[in-house]
Amino acid sequence: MLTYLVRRTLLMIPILIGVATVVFFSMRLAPGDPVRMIAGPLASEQRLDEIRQELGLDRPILVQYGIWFRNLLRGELGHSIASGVSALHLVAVRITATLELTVSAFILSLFIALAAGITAAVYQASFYDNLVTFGALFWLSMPSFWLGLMFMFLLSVRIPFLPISGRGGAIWTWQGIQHLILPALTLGLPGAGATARIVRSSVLDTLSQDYVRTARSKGLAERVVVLKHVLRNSLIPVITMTALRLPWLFGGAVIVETVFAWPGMGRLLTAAIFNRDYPVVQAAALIYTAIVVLANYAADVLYSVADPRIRLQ
Amino acid sequence: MRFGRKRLLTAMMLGALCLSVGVSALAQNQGGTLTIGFGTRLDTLDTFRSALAAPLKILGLVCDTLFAFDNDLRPQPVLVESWTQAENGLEWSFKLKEGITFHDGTPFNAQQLKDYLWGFFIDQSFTGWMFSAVEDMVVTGEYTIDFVLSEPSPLLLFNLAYPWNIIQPKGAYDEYGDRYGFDALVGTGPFVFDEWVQGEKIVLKRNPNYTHGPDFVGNQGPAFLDGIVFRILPEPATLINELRFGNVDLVVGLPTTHLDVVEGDTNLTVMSRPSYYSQFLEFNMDRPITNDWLVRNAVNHAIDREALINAAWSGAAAVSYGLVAPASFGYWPGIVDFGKEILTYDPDAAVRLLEQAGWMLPAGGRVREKNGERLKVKLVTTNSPTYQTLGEATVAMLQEVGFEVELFTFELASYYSVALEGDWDLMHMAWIDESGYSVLQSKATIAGIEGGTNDARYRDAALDSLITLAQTTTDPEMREAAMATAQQKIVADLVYVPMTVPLSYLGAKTGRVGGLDGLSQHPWWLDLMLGLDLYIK
Repeated sequence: MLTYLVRRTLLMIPILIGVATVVFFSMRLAPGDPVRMIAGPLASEQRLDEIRQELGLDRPILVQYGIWFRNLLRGELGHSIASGVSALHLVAVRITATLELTVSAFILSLFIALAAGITAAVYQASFYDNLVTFGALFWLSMPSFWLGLMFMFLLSVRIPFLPISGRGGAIWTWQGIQHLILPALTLGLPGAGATARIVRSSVLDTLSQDYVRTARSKGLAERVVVLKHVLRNSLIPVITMTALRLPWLFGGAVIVETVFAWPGMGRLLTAAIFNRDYPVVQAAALIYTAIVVLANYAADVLYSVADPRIRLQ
Repeated sequence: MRFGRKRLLTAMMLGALCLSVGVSALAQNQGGTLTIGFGTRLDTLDTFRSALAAPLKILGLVCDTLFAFDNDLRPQPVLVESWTQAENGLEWSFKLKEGITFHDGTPFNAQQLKDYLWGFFIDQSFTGWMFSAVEDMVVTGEYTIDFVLSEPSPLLLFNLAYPWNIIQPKGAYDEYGDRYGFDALVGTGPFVFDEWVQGEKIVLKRNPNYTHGPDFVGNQGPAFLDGIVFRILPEPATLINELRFGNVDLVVGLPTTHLDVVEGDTNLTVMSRPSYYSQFLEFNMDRPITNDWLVRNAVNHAIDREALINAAWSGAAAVSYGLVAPASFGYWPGIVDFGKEILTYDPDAAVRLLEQAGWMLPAGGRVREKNGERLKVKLVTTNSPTYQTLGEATVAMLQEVGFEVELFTFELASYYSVALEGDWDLMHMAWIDESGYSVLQSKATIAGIEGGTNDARYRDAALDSLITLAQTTTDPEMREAAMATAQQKIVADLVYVPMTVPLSYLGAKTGRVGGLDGLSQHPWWLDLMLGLDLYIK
């Protein structure tokens, strides 16, 4: 197990470098001059050239890559072209807000999916099953932009129950929680629909196993059978699905952050891409990649927890 | 006549009563925090690092310029007590106001001004070129400074009033380095920068020592408000919802897509004004088809500007008759009558012009041809919803008169690159500038081609001379005549075909925000006036 963990950790490094390299070259190959973007139309060509020289953007692309790679090995991710502030600092300031939103949405999504999926499977072909199936397809089909505005209209405008937008404070404060509810619902519900379908399918499969019949015949309560015996054995595909949904969750956060003015990394990354703010894009891409890789890493570990027969080698 | 004791007492009591009413009214206006909804992306407040227009809203409250534009767009002193100009125009002497300090405690004086402007601002800022005629600055006293010029610069006071040319202490840049404009912003303005919660809000607090507001502002300081919070709300629907139902009190630059909702809300005061945003169609003069004046004029007559306004701007724009927008200083009002003669929607005239140019419709064809070549043009625009609509509508109108149009939309960074590279025939473009002189310098001079702003490659030596004359003559009548002639020539040459001037909208909670009457008198809704005159009811 330890060997496995060490090997997977070391494997992260070439993945991160590979992704960062692809981002590096694709940003620079895209048309658009970052210096002109920030300088605006009033700057003279001479001043623009001076700025390009200061930022090293006048050098050949391979030289720029070499310098960037050397700095990367030193842990330096450069400074934002637009603001001059450390790219890592810009990302670090925003990542907390994004993690609050995505983790909350993730937990909400998982909770709803498990509850709905198990209910649908246990009461297969009943009203509850049809309700869950319909609900899953409904939420899965909702574009998050529209969903967010509808939640805002219904629960903040029509019925002023929750705040319209913004991040009211730290997540452990009541204000912070109030502001988090609508964005987390908007981000989490579509994913809950997809995951609920997987949960239902997996639980149905497990319910037909012999050991479940044995458990029932021993006189165990149905709740105990489902939660203790069935659920754990149904988790493998759910873990896979959940791990695969994580990048989607971060991608969807960009739209939700914009609708609810949530000060997360998604908006920062979008603006940096449009501005051709290379260092910020690269720093954000690295962080996102690390999160996704770690999530898959955690999924692999959870497999062995969910099913002791699986040995990590 | 003897003024009896009784009358004296009565007069004193009346005076005291008036004073108390005035003081009470003033006291009623004091206090409270104004929350402004801000829909634009903000990267930095450092004007040396970014020249995007977004930071101006905040800079105008925290920092002063030496002069500011009044309601008639004439420069009026803010940090200057008095000034004189030598007869030959080569020396300006300024006496600065005394007793002003920067927010970090640095005294504002002639040496501080020179330290900031000379060798720092002029060399390194994006607008330093406006002072290219200044060859030296001489401190002659604690509050007196001379600007020595290499040639007359009659627009010097205008340039010193230009919103980007704010005065900051050089020492603050040295102290904060890369963090300046991010963690710190120092000026002499009516509000002090307090904090910037990234992606969320910027908080300003009242500067209690501010008393040097220009005379044309109702309140010279300190501000009535305790503070101003700018909430960053990039999504237009959210911005409108917060204004109507949330905690946002005021929005400058209301998104026009939701105008009908906002104007129908009786709890809101909505004001509009022409902007200094000029939107036009430009032709690439290095391309054979668009180099032909007959073809350009045909395009001009083929386009229905009113239809464009309704389609792309939801009706929230005016027809433009010149390259310089009405709210820019240097705008010549006579361009409207001049432009109306030339910029008319007349598809039949467009057809006649194309045929005159030799572009004929083949039998059964829809696209005109000349010497075997099709009348095919490449139209470029940005991918914003408004400009995409402009592009699509333009394609339809040009197809009606026999053009084949390829429409290309690009996001902004790529759009600028494409404009510079020159692989296009027509381009929907906009120019946002408070200074009409700057607009002409950028878009219509040969120097602008080298600078990358005259992407139409508009070369006209006579026009160059006119624009130079407008910026250098010390005779105001000659300056006005040169500006008028230049603006007429640009319209007549049809390299830039003026299209629309979007209106700018402000919305505020009627029951909460007071002082809007004064603000509405200024063509720009000057930020300094916003900060000093507005109050919470």
